[in-house]
Amino acid sequence: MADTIVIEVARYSPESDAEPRFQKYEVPLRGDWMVLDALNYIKDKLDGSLTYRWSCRMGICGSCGMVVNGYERLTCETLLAQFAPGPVRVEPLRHFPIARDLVIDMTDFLDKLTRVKPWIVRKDKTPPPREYIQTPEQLGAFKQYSNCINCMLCYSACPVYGIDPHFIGPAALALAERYNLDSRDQGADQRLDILSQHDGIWDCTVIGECSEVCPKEVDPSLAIQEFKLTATKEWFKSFLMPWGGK
Amino acid sequence: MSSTARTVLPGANPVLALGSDEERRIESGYLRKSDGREKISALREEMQHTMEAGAGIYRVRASIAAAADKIADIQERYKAVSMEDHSRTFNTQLIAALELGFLLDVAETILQCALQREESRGAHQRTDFPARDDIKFLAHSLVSKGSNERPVVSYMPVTITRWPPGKRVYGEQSKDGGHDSH
Repeated sequence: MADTIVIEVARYSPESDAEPRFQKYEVPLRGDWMVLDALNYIKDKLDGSLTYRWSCRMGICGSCGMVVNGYERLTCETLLAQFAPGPVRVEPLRHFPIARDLVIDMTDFLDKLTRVKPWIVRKDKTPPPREYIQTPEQLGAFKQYSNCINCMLCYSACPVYGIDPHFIGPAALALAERYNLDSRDQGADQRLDILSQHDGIWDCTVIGECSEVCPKEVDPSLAIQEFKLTATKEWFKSFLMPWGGK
Repeated sequence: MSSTARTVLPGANPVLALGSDEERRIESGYLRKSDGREKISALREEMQHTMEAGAGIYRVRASIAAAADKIADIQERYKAVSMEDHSRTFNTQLIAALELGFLLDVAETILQCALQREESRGAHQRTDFPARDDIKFLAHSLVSKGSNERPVVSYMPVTITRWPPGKRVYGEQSKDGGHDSH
């Protein structure tokens, strides 16, 4: 095995570049390094002007999502050596505006996330006298969806979001389902209005890339199909029981 | 850090005045600086090794004093920190440079407090002063910047409420008297 590897990093500065370009760096090829370690090496030793997001280095914070050799990855848990002899191409997530280098502008995702009310909605007027009880089975109903770390890999991988930026998108829909399936939540009807709009669930054509790239084994694709079923049932009910049978 | 620097008139809101001072400090000390020669990552690494070696849990006058000399030297070199990134957009090198400056201040603070606290207490274990000294050091250490920019340590008395200080002892020893409480 060679002792170095070439990384081709997408660079873009809104202040001086018309469009992104690639810059090559040669870094040590260490068996214990992740792609993020290589980026940190570049920043520390070779070029302090390279910019990217990262924080926890252990697959929890969801900051360091990038496209590595064409695939969406958390760079902190993607071994560098698997790409030997290289080169390794590192690019920002797709479908978002690039703020600079590997940093994307996530405003659109944050707006969509807020729209699905990803919190427990209750109809009681006063706080309960004690905590809401939940059985392990009730927790199991939504637990996988709660593993989402908002890393946005699924938005980058989703071809539908790429074509139609109005699509609410996988992570936000998975999180909506996380709360809809929570026994303590009473907000499903509020979310239904948002989700069943044209740019909600109906744009999804079940390609499944979102579930494929998810580093936390969340299944957004399943969430969206569950929603379609619920929304369809509600739609039929509105004809059969227009007085509002729920 | 916005590029639309506001001009604050004398006598205006003192918080805004502090803000524009800081903006000027960042502009001239970092963003427009092009003559630096000290790498952030090298200084940071030296600081980390110095603190680990000189002021870990077990400390002794000589180790702390040597670390203090070294950190003072790194502080001096930090004035010539090198900035390759002059961008106003998502400048993570600026963040790293500012963080390093604050870390060095904290490192100096730790060292001066450790040097002057000639006793052992909790996670501060002076092997040259293994006993706790409540007469001299049952006190909060307060640190301020002196006239030469170096930290000055002073003390504020501690008010004991529920848990008086005690020996931290385990197993057999804990049966006779020591109470595990701080």
